[in-house]
Amino acid sequence: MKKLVLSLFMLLTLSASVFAQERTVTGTVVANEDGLPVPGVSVKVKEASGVGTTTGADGKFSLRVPANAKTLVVSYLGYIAQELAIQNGPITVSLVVDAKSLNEVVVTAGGLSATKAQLGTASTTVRAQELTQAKATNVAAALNGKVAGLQLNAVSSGVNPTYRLVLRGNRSLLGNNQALVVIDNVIVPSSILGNINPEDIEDLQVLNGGGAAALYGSEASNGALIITTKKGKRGTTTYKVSQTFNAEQVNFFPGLQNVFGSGADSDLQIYTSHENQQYGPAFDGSLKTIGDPLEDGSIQTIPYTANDSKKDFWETGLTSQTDFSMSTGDDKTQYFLSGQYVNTKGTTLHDKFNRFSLRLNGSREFSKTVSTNFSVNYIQNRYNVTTATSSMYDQLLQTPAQMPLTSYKDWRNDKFSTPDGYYNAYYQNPYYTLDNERQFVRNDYLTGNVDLKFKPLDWLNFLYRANITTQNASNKNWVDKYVRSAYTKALGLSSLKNNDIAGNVSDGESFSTQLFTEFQANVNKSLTPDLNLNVTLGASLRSNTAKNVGVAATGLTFQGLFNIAARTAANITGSESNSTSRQQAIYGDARLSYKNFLYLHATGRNDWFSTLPIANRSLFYPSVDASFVATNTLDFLKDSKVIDVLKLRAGYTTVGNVNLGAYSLLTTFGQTGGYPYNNNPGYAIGSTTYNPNLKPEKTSGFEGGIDLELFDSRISLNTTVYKTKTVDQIVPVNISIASGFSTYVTNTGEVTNTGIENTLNLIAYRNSNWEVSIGGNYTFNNNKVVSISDDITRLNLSSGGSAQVVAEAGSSYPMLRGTDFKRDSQGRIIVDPKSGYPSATESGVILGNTNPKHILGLNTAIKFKSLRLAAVAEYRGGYIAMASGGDSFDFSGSGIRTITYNRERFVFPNSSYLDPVSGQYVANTSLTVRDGGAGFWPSAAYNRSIATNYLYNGAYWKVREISLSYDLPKAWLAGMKFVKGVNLQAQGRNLFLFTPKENIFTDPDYILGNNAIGINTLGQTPPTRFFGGSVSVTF
Amino acid sequence: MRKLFNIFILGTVLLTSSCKKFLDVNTNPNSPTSSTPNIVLPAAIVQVASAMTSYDDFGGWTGGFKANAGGYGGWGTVWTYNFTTNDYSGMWSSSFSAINQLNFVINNTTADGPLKFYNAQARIMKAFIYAKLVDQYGDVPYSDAGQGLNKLNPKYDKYQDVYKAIFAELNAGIAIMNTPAVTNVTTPVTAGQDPFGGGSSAAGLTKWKQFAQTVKLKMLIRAQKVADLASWVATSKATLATAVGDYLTDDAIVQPGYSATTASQFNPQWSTYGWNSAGTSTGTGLSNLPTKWAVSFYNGGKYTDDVRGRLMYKSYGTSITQSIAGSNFVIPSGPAANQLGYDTEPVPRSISGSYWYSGALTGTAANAGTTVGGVLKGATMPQVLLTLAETKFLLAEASLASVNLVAGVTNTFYEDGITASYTYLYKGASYTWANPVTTASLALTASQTPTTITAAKTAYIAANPNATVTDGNGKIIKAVVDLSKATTDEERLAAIITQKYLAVHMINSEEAFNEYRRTGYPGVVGGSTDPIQTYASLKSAAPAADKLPTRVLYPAVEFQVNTENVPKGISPLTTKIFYAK
Repeated sequence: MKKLVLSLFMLLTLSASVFAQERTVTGTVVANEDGLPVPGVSVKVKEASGVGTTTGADGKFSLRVPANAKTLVVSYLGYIAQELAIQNGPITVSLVVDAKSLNEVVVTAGGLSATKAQLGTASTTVRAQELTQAKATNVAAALNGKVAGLQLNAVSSGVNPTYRLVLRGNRSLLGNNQALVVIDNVIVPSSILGNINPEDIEDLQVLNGGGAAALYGSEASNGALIITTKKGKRGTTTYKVSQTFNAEQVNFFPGLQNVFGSGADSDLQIYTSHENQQYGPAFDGSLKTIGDPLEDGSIQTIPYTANDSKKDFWETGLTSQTDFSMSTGDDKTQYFLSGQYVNTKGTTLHDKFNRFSLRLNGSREFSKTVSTNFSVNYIQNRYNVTTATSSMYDQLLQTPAQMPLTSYKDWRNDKFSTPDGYYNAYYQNPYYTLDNERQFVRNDYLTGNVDLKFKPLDWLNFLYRANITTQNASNKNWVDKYVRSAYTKALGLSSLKNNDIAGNVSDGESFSTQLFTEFQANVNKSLTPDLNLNVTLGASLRSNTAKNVGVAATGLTFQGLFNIAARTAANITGSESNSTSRQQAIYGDARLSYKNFLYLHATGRNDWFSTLPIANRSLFYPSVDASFVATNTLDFLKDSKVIDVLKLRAGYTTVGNVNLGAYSLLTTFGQTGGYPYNNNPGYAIGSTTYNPNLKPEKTSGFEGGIDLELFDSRISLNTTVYKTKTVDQIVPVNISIASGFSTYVTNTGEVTNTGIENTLNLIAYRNSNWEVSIGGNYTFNNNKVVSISDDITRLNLSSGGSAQVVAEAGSSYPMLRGTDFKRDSQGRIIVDPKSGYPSATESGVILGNTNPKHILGLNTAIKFKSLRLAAVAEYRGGYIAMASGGDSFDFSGSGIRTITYNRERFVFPNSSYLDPVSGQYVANTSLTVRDGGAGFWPSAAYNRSIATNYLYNGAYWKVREISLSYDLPKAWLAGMKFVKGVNLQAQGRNLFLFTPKENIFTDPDYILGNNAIGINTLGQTPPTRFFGGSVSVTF
Repeated sequence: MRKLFNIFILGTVLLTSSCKKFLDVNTNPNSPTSSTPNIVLPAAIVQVASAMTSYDDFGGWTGGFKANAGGYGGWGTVWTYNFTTNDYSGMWSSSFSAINQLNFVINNTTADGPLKFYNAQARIMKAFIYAKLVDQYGDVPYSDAGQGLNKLNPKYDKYQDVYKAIFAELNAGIAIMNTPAVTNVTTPVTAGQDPFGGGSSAAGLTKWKQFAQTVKLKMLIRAQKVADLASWVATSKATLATAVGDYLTDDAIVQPGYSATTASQFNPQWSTYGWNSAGTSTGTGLSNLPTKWAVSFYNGGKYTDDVRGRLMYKSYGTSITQSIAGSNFVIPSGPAANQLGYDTEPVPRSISGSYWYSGALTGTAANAGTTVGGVLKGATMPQVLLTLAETKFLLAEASLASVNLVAGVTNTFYEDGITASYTYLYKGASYTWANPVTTASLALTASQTPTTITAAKTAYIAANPNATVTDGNGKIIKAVVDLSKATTDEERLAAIITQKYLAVHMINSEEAFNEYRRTGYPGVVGGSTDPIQTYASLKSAAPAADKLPTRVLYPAVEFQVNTENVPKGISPLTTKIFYAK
């Protein structure tokens, strides 16, 4: 794309040469990175100004040169200019990317482009190679550790995890904090990021601040990821086929004990054969019966010894990824066509996911002034997964270590595995659960885009853009029915064993469509020889429509038939929701360049939102930034041998953010309390009232930075500091229900973010065969909730459990708040003077911030000839997380915490008790807890309801990616007519996870969802590593 | 270039002029943003009905009917009585949820307009639920309430002002109903829109007026000894109905068409204790047990009443074996019961559907059952607002010479009250009674099966010893059952309130605690740990002689968002409610 635009430009300005000519020089210009010809490269004669040409679509040039010509100057924007001696015979020039990137052209907001020198704000470019080097199937996953200021969290584990991408910290209390995703200038839902084929991406531009992205409108207040997909190349046709296999394996198991088996009695360790709790006697290797006798009288007998089946429960997953792409083009028309099929089998048995995508990108020049670009992308994905991951995981923990868990897979036929015969009286066989509580999901995405360009004059051009993004989805969730035998029920063991499973089914369909049109007019004109003005004015319209319908029924008539019609309940329940929201905007972008060292840039945008009250619909927000390239003007720097580039930049921004969906201005009425009854409607007024003057949230921010390149650009350093302030947050505030409503949606609250982002890249060693580069990025973010509202100092972002994620005035955000031990004034844990047991505080206390303050990414690439080794590692620190599933570890007795004192009575560490005589708290050195087993660890009051027990330092080091790639030498392929290149690769992702000892639970990246960062659940299966290999062949 | 700008500006103007139409798409297609009183009134009445369960739950714990079941923890303030601002706040929120609906109806209708009957019904229902609220909280927002954005922080009105205001609303509602409908103008309330009275037919209006009169009587009874209200009681007395037939002649119930097949259409009391639509028993049913104190009113501990005992409780009088921590634990005579605060194993366990479901059915069959009597009858049972039994006991007290609010024979009212209690318990979920409808499920013997309810009542009165028992200080701790044996109005009052206590048992349990606070009956032996002498929790933190709490606290949200108005300095253990003795 970039090359295309530039070559167009050059073709137009080409002037014929009028010099006397004596001989003809011919040659080909190719790009060093991929060996493909580069069209539009300027080839000039050094000794005769005015003699020159540009390469054609096939990268070839032919130039008649005067007699005195000795040297050719070959230059192309973004590449290092080369001088070559004119020789006889064809010349091959291999262009090397200019590491001194000031002249690199990057895409900025609104689809505009600028050189890096012009940018007054921070941005990071991630190239295709870096994105696909570890063969992640999800683009988000491939960004980990590579971009300063970007924090990625896997919301979950599973076959296609979703990621939360946040730039420069969280700023909206309840609204969206995620970066905007733009693909080929089209704003797309962030779910597309998890579904787009990473192999289609040419580059990905991260605009860290709201200012850089302001032209995209209000959603850009959180920064943006701008993805440019691949385009066809002129003059060559290449086909690429590749196949990748990756295995997925659990790389971090929670800490489980393997000392004690089944039992649930306090004070005594008594073996109970059908018990889930593991507070029984220590393993002794003897033979023991498990469960209760079956109807046929049989009972299972197993050795009373711990085994590894809880680890073996997790399968080895497998992802197969098949890619095909074709790129072709001539002078006027280029196409890029690609297809990808990804098939994933997860670490949970029977969980499957597949994705198929097709893309066609094309461009055509109709005349010298009119051209078009278009793209169509179709993606479909299919999930077949269990809906009961969290119950399944809990059931796993409720399995004593002596149980041969993996032998219960065949729950249909094996008599000890059926719900009737399974040994555990209180918890279901996890294999049964994962097989019988399932979900089928189908998502189809179609995006299409057309750009039409008209360039009547060389300083003027117009662009019209229209695109559509649709998602069509359906899902079916079901729980199968199961009728227990009369024998099982008659045993009267538990409510689990006494009851049949009625089963249920729900079915839903939805679509969402976004239509978008945009018009831009661009003027790029030199006002004086030193002063250039580039102004773009634009207008856009956007319309989003969505619909969601669902039906559900309880009670299935037949086992294995999941149809709403085959139900036992009289009625089905159903729901429907529709929404339409629209936005229109006009905007302007002006860039003033003085010589090649001073750049001023201003943008302004006015949005109109359909979702806001009419009076507040319109919102204007401006931003300005400036860039000063000192090395291009200050003499002492110009001549410096050390400093190649020194650029200073600064910007100030305001961006509005509308965290308000459609129809959120008026109180609604709804059928409640069971209505309609007997065909009579009954509508109750809703409990939420709205500020009639709701307006958008506003984020204003300042950023400043330095870009430095040293020693022939072998060292580059970028540093950015920023401070943002978000005010007028749209927050539902609780109000007195006596007012008529219990919630009031209004503008209130202020959050500030300050931080620093640093990137350092270093080419440690380079010669003709070797290149060793090392890079790092470090981000520090500190945010603070300045205020929420007059009445409220805290907002809960999660509810339930012993700890909640909150936004609390005066603290950083998000924060974890939960119960702690009751402590005396010296911080010692108060225990009961009789029982020795501690207790929980009634209300929560602040436990700590859950967003990492420090994020460090390290990467390296070592190249030897065509062998390339790349690695990425990431560190996060300065935060805490909580395992909300931790109480299941202790309740069951599976958790390793529960054997801290070998199940014996122990003196609670750092404790004190109230001395009844003195009325003082005295240190407890001898009073032990009454019971160190089932009486203590499973107790909510003494242990499980105390959040601090499951709190851990979230710090970690992760080896995110290692890949080794080898291009077969061209010489080897010389004999093969069609094959242009063969690449072999081995890669691994998330290979190692290093955490502090206290983290015995899981990957701290996992979060509850939305803004509730900091709580992991049993809904997330253990973290995994991927490793495998791939082959790709270019024809 | 200028031309270009002109084009652009023109384009912008075109764009913005079409802007309004393009952007006017914010009309909600999913939910109505306006509504009419005639479809809000039914939802409002059903919300009043569902609010009853949070009151009953509070009364169940503080009135001595419920105790903790074994196997469940986290009781905290349930048994210490040191309530926090989060405890029982459902009474506040569910009442105001209903009041907000009723206010919508009242604000969108007039006393003499076409929707006047909606207006009148909403006023009466609002007064009823406000009276419930004031009886728990005292001062509450009234004059500022329900004004939305105009009053986000409504002020609190004095309890006496609220009492006076809602009493006036009741009179106003009656007055509206006494003016005839105007042909072709007045919109009648249809039967389907009025799940309480059955519409604005003559019978429906009569029922509403009877209800209003009974609520008025109840308010005056409660206020009669409140100094701040003494003069108001004296003057308001005149507006009370004089004929017995002007008060409720049947239980005041709400029946919108509760269904056993749709989870959201279950009777709210049933969905608290019974089984859900998939046949799974609820946590509340499994974690709450009858108290030994309450059972003693039936099994001979204090009184003998096997008929109501069997109607009330599962396994009444039969031996129960429970497996607790691996050993069998035998309860010789059911139901399994506990004393609040007792938690040393073995603590009896509850059962699916709780011990207050006396039928033999379980799961979805129990939900759908219509012929089981008692307090938990089935998912389709109607929700009680005010029982006929309570009405009769109000009349009985009102007719005492020392009270003198209503004329009549106290003993007749009293015995009618007992009869009404039997009648209600004998009815199944379909609210029809056919003697002996529940014989099979209750396993009543022939001699225990009364041929008529009246015979049951007579047998009950005859079977119990009839002498008032007092403690050393002359405080009545056991009232007579046969009212004719009572010699003073105080003894009569003790008997009336004791019978009312049994009539509201797990139906409107909060009235048991209210009346205890007002009259001290049924009497408890303060400081005793004997589960039959007192129902106070073994873990009570209350300093009072009876070891019982005095009231609930205002909910936490009021302290957070209505800080300047919410009354402060209230203790759940020492601050008495306005009508407390």
